[in-house]
Amino acid sequence: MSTNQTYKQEKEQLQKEAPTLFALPRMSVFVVPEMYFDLLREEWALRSASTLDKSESTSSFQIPEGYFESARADLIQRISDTPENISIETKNDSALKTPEGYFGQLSEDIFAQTSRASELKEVPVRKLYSTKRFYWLAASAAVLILAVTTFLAQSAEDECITFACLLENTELTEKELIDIYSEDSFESEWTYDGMTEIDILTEDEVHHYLEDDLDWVIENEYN
Amino acid sequence: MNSSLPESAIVKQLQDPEERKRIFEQLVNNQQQPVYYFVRKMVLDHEDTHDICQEVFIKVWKGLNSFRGESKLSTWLFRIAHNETITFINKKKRLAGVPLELVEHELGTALQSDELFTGDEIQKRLQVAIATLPTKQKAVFLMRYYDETPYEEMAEITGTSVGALKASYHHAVKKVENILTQG
Repeated sequence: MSTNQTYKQEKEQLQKEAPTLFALPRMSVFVVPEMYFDLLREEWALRSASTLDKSESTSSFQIPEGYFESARADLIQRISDTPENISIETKNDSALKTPEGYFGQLSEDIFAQTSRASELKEVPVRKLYSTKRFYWLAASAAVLILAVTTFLAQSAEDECITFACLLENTELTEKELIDIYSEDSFESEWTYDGMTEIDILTEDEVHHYLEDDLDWVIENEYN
Repeated sequence: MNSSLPESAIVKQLQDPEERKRIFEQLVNNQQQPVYYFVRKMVLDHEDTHDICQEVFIKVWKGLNSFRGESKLSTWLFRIAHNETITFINKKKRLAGVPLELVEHELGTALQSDELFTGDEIQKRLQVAIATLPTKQKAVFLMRYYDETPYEEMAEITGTSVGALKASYHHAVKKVENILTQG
């Protein structure tokens, strides 16, 4: 199939499948700044004559005639020069200038700082987590756990408030226990009007009450 | 350009530095506008186009030595332009770090503020529709729709088979038509 036939068929297909696109004029809608291509042409002419030529010439690495012969002699001469002379030459050759006496002062500063640094006391390095510290932490944790356990056990004991529980946890008879707890009312009265009651108690009795010596109380009060 | 000369004769001429310079200048004179407009339609922005064209012609100059005459000089030039443009767009997408669709959309909407765009509203819509095409499909569409570049030449430029190019163009036409009619 010839190229023209292909175009014709394609156009027919475009008209059929994409009528909107087919109807649009195929115009250039992009403009360029004024004289852009003329300037670009000039630019490329200049480039091809100068910059691009340079990049090409560097590939062949041209060197001045007799360069290596003179370079060897020059190098030997430089090596035989004193270090001071070499440093002066380097300074003069450099395009980047430094303030006068800069490098001399710089050396002094560096020496001064390094000597000061060596005078500083060595600070001992401490481990963030030492073994000793770990033991302390473990011991503290153990004590804490023990305290919490004891407290919870105590709380559990305190929670024994039912009569059956109390009866189970004491050697007292049911009657004795009833009598003791019926004293609660008396105790509250006693607390309310404590001074009067205390007056009639002996010092020994007060001591036993304060100590909460239940056996003594039962023995003396109920027998 | 020496379009009348066979490529083998051009290759021979390119061996001479003076001839090479002359051929390069002719290439710039004759092809800078087609290359510019191809790239411009791809990236839309004039400054980006200018940068890409600079890269293209530098590569052409550096590569003239190695031109073997296996294709037409202009085809070879367009292959460089095509590859440079796609590299540029991909790099821009990576740098932007945004989804492909968004970049394409931004390319299209950039036309709204482009003083160097003279098209009317329907032309703007066409450019926005073209901007939504995937990069390689866009290149195929532009070469075929605007320049009527033969598929064989397009195959040499893009390194894709003629069949794949035809299918790609067909898909692109359908997408553009859909966008134009929906808008």
